[in-house]
Amino acid sequence: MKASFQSVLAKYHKDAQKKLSKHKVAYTWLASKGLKVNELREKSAGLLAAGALTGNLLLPGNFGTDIQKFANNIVQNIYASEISGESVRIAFAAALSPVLPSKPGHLDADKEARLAEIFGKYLNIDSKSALDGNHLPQTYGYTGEEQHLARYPGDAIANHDELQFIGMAPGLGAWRYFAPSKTAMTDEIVLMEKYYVAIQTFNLPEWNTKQPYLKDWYKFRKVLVVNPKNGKAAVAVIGDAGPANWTGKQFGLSPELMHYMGLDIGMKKGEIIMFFVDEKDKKAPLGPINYDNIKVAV
Amino acid sequence: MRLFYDHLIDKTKLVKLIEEKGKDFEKKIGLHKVLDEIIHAAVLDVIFSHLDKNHHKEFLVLMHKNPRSAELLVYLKLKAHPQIEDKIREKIGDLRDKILKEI
Repeated sequence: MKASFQSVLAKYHKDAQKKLSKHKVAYTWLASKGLKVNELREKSAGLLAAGALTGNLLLPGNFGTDIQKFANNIVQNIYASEISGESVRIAFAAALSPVLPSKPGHLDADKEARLAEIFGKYLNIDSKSALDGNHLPQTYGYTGEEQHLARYPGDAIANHDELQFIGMAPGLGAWRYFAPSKTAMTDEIVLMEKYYVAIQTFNLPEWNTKQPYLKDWYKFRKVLVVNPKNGKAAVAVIGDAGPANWTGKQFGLSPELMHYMGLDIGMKKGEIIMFFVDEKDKKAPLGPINYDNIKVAV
Repeated sequence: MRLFYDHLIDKTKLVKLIEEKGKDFEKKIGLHKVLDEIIHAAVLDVIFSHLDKNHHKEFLVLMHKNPRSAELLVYLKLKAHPQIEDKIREKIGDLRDKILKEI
């Protein structure tokens, strides 16, 4: 006969406490604060207000009994140094995780505001889910891989310098060519095609009624693309419309972006976050974010 | 009160069981508390198993200062394990499955 729910929980409660008590340093500290291992969660808040951290064990002499100052100092000591490089990428991904729902989908305004804050802090990029009154059809969804786009009349796959095996899209991008001719090509235009995204502009509620305004507004608009699983991020342009709704994906990324994001493997499908880049006060160059150039005080 | 790791925990089935099996409101509250304490202790066990002993006190001070802060996971990613969230998810998932099997 199976045990009662209550007795099973009681057994696991005891087991969990026993396991925790094996971590002597933590256990001793908790005990010194009068915290019983069987009521840790319940007592996890408000300890500072209650004065439970004022023991001699951690209190530096020069802080006396100023609890809040002491706590701030501890946090500053622990978070004293700036982080840069790969540590920023890891910390960035960790900071995103609590904000995102378990599966991609609609994000409410509060979540989008929190994400914009995180992007500002870790990537030093001003970004918005809505800009000039325009909101992306979706900001957190699945992406698939697009093919290279023709940048000018007569462009061929042999002229693209990376990932040629992905091939060229059979048709033009939603805004047609990036440049009117090969001679009009610039380094910036090369980057635009390398780092382009496709979004479902056709799902925008006013797409059919606010033309040509919306088409002009979205054409090559800069966006921030983030893979929340690994913290890889890049600035790209909206270069095409798609994918179709039936695919179950909401975005498409250029071959170079998919490769950089680490999504060009297996089914070539993954989760991304996308926001508009707001360059009003700060320029954001196209391409992957170089974490070596970023320092974040954590 | 939500804690910094709550979004990693799926205890839906256990919560449902408590609601079904708890005899009255008081009993249900009691069972929810015990379940939360089991999970909390297990999460701390995962953390302390990956975090260097020298940082155990630091972490406890930070956690008790602001148990909801997302920065705690950032701290753990840097100082305990880059995939600490997966470690927590996995441990609590196993624990949940074991409990469900025994009931």
